[in-house]
Amino acid sequence: MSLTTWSRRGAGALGVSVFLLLSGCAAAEVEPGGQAAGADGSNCGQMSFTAPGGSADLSQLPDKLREGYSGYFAPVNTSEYQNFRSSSDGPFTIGYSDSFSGNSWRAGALARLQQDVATYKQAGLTDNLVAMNSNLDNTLQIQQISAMINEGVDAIIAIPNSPTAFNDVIEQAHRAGIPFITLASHVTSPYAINVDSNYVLTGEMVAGGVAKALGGQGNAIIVDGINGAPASAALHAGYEAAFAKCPGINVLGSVEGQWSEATTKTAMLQFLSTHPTQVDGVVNGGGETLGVMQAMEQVGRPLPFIGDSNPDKGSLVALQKSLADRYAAASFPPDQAIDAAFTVAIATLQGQGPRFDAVVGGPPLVTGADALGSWVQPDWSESSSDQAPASPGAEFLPAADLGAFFTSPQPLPPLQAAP
Amino acid sequence: MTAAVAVPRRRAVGLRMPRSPLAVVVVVTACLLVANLVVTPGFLAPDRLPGTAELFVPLALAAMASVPSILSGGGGLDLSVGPLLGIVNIVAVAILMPAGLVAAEVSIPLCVLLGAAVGAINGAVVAFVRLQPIVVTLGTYLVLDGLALVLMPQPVGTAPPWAAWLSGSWLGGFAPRSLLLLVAGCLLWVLARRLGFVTLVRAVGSDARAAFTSGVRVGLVRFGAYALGGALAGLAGLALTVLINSGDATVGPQYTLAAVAAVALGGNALSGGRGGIAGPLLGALTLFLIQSLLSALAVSSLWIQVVHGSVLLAAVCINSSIGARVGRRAAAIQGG
Repeated sequence: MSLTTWSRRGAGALGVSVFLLLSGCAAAEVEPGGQAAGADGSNCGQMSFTAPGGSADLSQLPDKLREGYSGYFAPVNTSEYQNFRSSSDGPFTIGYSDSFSGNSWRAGALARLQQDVATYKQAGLTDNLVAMNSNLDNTLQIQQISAMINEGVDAIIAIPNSPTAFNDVIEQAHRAGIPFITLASHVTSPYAINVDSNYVLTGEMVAGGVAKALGGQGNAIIVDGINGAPASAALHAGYEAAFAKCPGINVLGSVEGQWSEATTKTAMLQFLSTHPTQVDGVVNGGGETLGVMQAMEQVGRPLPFIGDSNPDKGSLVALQKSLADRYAAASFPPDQAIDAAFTVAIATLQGQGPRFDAVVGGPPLVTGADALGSWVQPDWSESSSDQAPASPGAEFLPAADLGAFFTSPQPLPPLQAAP
Repeated sequence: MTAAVAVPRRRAVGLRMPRSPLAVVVVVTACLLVANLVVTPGFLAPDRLPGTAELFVPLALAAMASVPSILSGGGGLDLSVGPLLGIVNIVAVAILMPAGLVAAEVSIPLCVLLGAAVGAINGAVVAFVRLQPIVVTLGTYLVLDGLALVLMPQPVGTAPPWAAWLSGSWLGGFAPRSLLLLVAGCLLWVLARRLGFVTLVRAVGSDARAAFTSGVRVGLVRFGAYALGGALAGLAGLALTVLINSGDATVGPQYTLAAVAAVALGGNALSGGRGGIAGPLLGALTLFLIQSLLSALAVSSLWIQVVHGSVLLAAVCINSSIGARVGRRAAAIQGG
């Protein structure tokens, strides 16, 4: 009964957008649909590999890294830059084209990139950083990238504001011998290398962690980001996939928290007022944990097990205070994300030969009071909505792992430790 | 008091301001081009020219699309130009392509007709229902902007084959094919001028009552002006498709203000009746060159808006003073 209820809800909530996203992955090894998979609940909380499709031969990767591609929303192909080598021997000038500067993730990424370029400048590897921001204006961003090509930067790292509108200018960059690396915003051009977090996998891991901790039994609520936003849709698909394996988990419904604490609290209060049943677990897309906890406290209900797909500092402080043993989290911090993109750019320029057009990582799952103890720093406060750094030992695509994504990897000097 | 007023006047004559509004823009454009070439020596290199032309053509055509409505006077203005670019882009990618209408000779005329049809709707409401153009076209703006998102909630990555062809070039890069769209727009304008339509629009724009008493059908001319603007916006939408080589609902609306700014920069009177397309084309080129100069200097996008606004204000001030002198001279000649 409950299973059919949620699958119908899931079909509605996911909508056309996710269908379009996922339709690109007509791949082998697709999990059988909801009812057949784990009808007995034996694989509840277990991860299983779903190939993303595309021409790339992911078996070249170690298992741990290959699993990072599981369920990735876009096909992964062999890179056009496999036999590329920059016409310059360095030091390299790096262009950075950001589409938006108004949040702490983007600000953190830019600050870290400036630091990285300065570090490699001392090592004689980089020269200048040309950073531009388009304030969500696509035409302006195309013009800025065009200006970088004119200026003759050696590589471009970008967060493009559209998965398709930049394909032409990306091809121009390729023709000019400038590799184009995207960060956390996959583009469909074959001439880009997409460094990305796997949100479907993140959602699946976080929800799987919650389901496992609940013993495969209980009522869950999904708190989405912004409906229609690709990251939110991908996370949602991941949650649904994980809960589908657990017949004992009953998804009560999803609310739209818009990645905001205040919006989450309001949406949760509305939802709880019409759902008097017990709530055992709540998964959310990041920046929403505190809103969930405040709403539960306000209506006098016990705090549920929390799954947080990208916690901010305030959420972690609150979890440590009240739910230190009852959370599952994964994080995609800007520092490591930009480190990975920067390293991929330098390695590609040096002719190390990137294997695939997407370098995808699934951030490791963090649970337990001990991990939280070493993660939360004394100067963080519950009111901070700053993006939390990675949990120690659970980094996103650390430098040591990146070599496997290249055909002839050579070690690069270490970047400074993240603050 | 009288002396204080007289002195600046004499000085203004001493400065020898160029006689025509166009001359100011030509000088500014030339300076900006030199500045761009100094900052980026490869700015007009054959391997970069097609990409540069692609960026310029949608803005130039959008500026041209804003000309007829403004020229027709009566507070004429077409705010819906930007979203109309967007809707043409989306119809070409999301409606014509799935229907199999990908051949250039079919889909390009259909897109231009779509633009003309939307312009005609604006024109009909403005000319025959006699509502304020700014409100009417703001309504169309919102309708088209919303419709674009309904038709294409997420960007789609395939464009018709003619878009890829137009993004190429001849003569090893020196003749970007995207300029063909600009040429088509100019031909459309020349045709309208040859037929006497542009003269009628100017007559209606400078004095609708005098035009009416001379037997000009004012309403019909205004209706035609908006339709002509719409057709040019259709061409601009095609150019936008060439630029992004895909369909994207969020790209079009940004062109509205840039287009109006280009028209004002080009020296056309915003009150109507005076100006052609050469000025607005140069105005668009000026805006484009400013933006690429600021991009090349890695100036923050937030400053780009400030600079755009300031340039526009300065241009309007200069042009209105020149316009006033031109007007006075014309009055003096008539009086003599």
